[in-house]
Order: sequence, then structure tokens, then C-alpha cells
Amino acid sequence: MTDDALCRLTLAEAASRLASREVTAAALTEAHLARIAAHDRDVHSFVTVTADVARETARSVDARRDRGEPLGPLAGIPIALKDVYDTAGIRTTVSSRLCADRVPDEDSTAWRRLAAAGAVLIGKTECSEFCFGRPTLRALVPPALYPWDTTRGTAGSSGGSASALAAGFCLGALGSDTGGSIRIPASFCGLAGLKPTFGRVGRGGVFPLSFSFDTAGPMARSVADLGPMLAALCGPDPADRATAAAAPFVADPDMEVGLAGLRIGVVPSWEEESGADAGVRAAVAAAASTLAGLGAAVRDVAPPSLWDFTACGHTIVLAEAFAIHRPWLTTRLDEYAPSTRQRFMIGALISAGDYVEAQRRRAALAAETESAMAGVDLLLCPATPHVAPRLKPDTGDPFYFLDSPLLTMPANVTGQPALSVLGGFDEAGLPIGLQLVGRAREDALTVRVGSAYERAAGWADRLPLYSDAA
Amino acid sequence: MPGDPSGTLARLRAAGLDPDAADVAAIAAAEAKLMALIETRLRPHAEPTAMPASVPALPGGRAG
Repeated sequence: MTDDALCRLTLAEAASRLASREVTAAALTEAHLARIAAHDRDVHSFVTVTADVARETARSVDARRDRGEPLGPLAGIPIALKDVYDTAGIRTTVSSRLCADRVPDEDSTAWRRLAAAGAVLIGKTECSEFCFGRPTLRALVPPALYPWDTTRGTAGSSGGSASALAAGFCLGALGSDTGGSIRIPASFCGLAGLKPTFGRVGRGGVFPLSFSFDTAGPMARSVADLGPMLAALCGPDPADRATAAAAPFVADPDMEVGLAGLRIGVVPSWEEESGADAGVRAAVAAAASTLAGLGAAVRDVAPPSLWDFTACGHTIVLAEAFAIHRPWLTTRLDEYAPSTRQRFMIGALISAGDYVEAQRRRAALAAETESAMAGVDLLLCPATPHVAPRLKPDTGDPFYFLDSPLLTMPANVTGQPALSVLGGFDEAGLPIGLQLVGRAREDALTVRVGSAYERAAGWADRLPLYSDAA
Repeated sequence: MPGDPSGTLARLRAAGLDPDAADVAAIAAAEAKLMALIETRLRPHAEPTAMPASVPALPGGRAG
């Protein structure tokens, strides 16, 4: 196979060809490294490319396969990590000048689990500085760009992981999601990204933004490719007490059958409140028809207002982020990009009473959402109200997120699993992202429905890689 | 404090922060929006006996 063909494989296809020895891990790794060398200067996906580590791991995988040793399900698969996941001996910067030389001694739990499954670390990807808000030109590295049109950004905060996948630099990636940071860039880049149920994937060694909201999760070019990563990632993490009761991820046994008996709720009020474009609303309606065609029953539901989730979420996240950053805000303020430090400092103005009230409102919103979903298994809504916008870093209000409600925030407030999946293209050919929100702990069902939709809709087959446009 | 009608700078300094004028202007404008959200979306729902979402699990013990 040519290098280009190797970079176009899905994760599942690559794993199959590796297992059958049709391709070696070394060849797969070299193909991806060559593509990164040729194109990353244009799209800025990576903070650090780990070429030597990748080559060494790939050689080891090939040698073990030659010796007939048992290998993990991700053996030889090139994976990129958002630069918030600690990697022993490899700098982990969170895209901030404050952490430019930060080299952890230990791997994050998530990377340790992926590595144990045989994954090859191809590099550490760009993110919004400390994972908060839109990217800025004043951080450690420039913002990752949307590979099909580099006048557009990938949004934050897992933008580098999204850019790397869309550009064909890796077959899977990790992001993290506090208010939509996996699902928003996945939506803008036409990818699959899952924010798992809170507490399902360990966050040990993941640089925090908000302890009670941060969620680690996988991204890929197809929903089906999320499964092998989730199987490796899910489970208790001694470094993260939120995962104490985390169950392993087991793919839904009905993965390949239809959706008869399933009930999908569409949320017209969220489309209205978010100001979703007509094209995005049409994509939701078309997806509802596709799911109905697969046997699901579709009806409207009315969970709480997006503004309620947004107010609750921002109050908690801003207060927790300030607590995390206070030591550096009081001693190294000038090393933050201005927009980042302003977002962190405002948390100092939130009272303890309002923080607690937000945590109490959070519990109530979770209960109200559960009640609204009593007659349905999943919610279907947009992931973002529009396609990827033109990149205008460091312009406009740094607190833009207070002006409109986030479609992604409800699942962060309630802790439910939420999947971004490609739902079509607009008239200019830009991807439209849809969101499926499952009930708590029903990550496998959420992935199953997303995968069934993806296969039926066929959008992912039309997803070009960067070189198509270059 | 003169030039700080909303008291934003004074309260940020009380928290140990030393923002510049641009920081204060951006934060003061945003604080008004954030407090409006809190006052309209959070405080009206306050219930004295409601439990928060983040009730911590104590380590090590067993029920009973």
C-alpha cells in the first residue's frame, strides 16, 4: 500500500491489516510521520512530534508479532494525545508558556492504558491554552487549523487532535471535554468524538481545568473506531476517585443489528435557543429520518433550557479553574495569554455560596433531564449551531461563551455520555456535526446508535483528507 | 477606589491578583453577564435542603 493509502485507513482497517501482516507497524508509523513532516507546518496540529518514540514502539510491536507473542488490540496503531496527557520523559505543555519545559516523570493513566494495548504515540497535539476557550496566538503554539480550509479553525480545546485526525496524521486521538472540547472540534472537522460518562475514564495525569467537569475521551474518523480505544481506556483509575465504580467498556452485542425498539428524542427548544443554522436543523431532521428508517421511534422531548445548563456549568468551571490556577495567577500572570488569564481571574469573583448553589442546581438539572428522557433512550441534537467559522484569534470578547448557550454543556452538567458524529455537509462542503446524548453509563449504546447512523448515512465515506485539498 | 466603579479591581486585588487595565475592563464587563446568569438561572432555584452534585465519597470505610 502507498503511504497515502495507509493514512486513509480507519483504525479498524489498520488493525486488521496489521494482524494479517499485510502491513507492518513500522510502515504504518513511517507513513504517518512522513505525512506530518509534509503538512503539519500548514495546519499546526502538533506541539511535539514523537518520531523516535513512535519508531521504537512500532519496531517492538513488529518484533513481538514476528515472535508470535500476544498483542493488544491497538498494537501498532498511531495515536495522538492532546498535550494535557502526561507522558513520562516527553514534555506536556497544555499549550502554555507556563508549562513550556514541563516534563512529567510518569505517564497519565489514559496513555498507560493505550500503550498497554499496543498503541504507538505519534505526537502531542495543540490545545487551547490550559483547555479554556478559543485558541489564541499568544499561547505557546499557534492554533491548529481546519485542514480542508486553513482560514478556519478547529475550535477548542482539543483542536489539535481534531486537526491531526482530519489531516490523516493519526488513526485515533485523545481529547478532553469540560464544556464540549472533544465534541466541538470533532463537529467542525467531521469526526467522531465521545465525551464518555463522567467517571468512566481515569484522569490521572491529565492537566485539570475543572475537577468536577473534566472528562477524558477518544476521537477518531469513524464512530466504530472509538470502541477499541474505549475498551482500553474505561475502568477504575487509582489516581482519579471519580472512577471508583467505573465499569469496563464492552461493545454493544447488538452493534450490527438495527435500531428497532430504540427511542430517540429530538430537542427543538435547544435548536431554537442555540440559534442553529437552517442547514444544521435540516441535518438533524434528516438524521432523525435516517434513525427512524433503521427502526427507531423518534419524538420531540423538552429537557431544561440550555441557558440553565450553561449558567450552572460556567459558574462551576470558572470557580474551579481559578482555584487550580491561583498559585500561578498570583506569581506568573504575564506568562498567560491575556484572554486566558482574564477567563481564569473572573473565577475569583464567584462566591462560595454561588458555587455551592451551582453544584446543587447541577444535581437538580441531572434529575430533570433524566425525567425528560423517561420515554427515550437518547437525545439527538446539533453538536454545534453552525459549521467551522473563520479563524479570528484574539479578536472579540474573550468571554464570548457568556453570550450564547452551549449545546454541549448539558452532558457535562449531567455527566451523561455524548457523541459528536458527522451529520452531513453544508452548501460549501463544510462538515455538520450532530450529537447523540445517552443516558448515564450507556456509552456502549450511544456508540452503537452513532455507528448505525454513520453506516446508514454514509457521510464518513465522503470525508476527504488534507491532501485532497492541498 | 477611583476609576473602579464596579469594585472589580479591588476585589481582584483582594484575591491576590494584579491585573492590568485591559484585564479589569474585560472582567468587569463579563462579570455583569455572569452575575445576571447566576441571579436568573441559579439563585431562584435555591432549595435549603437540596444536596449538591459533588457529595464526596469518603475513602477506605465500609457501610455498617
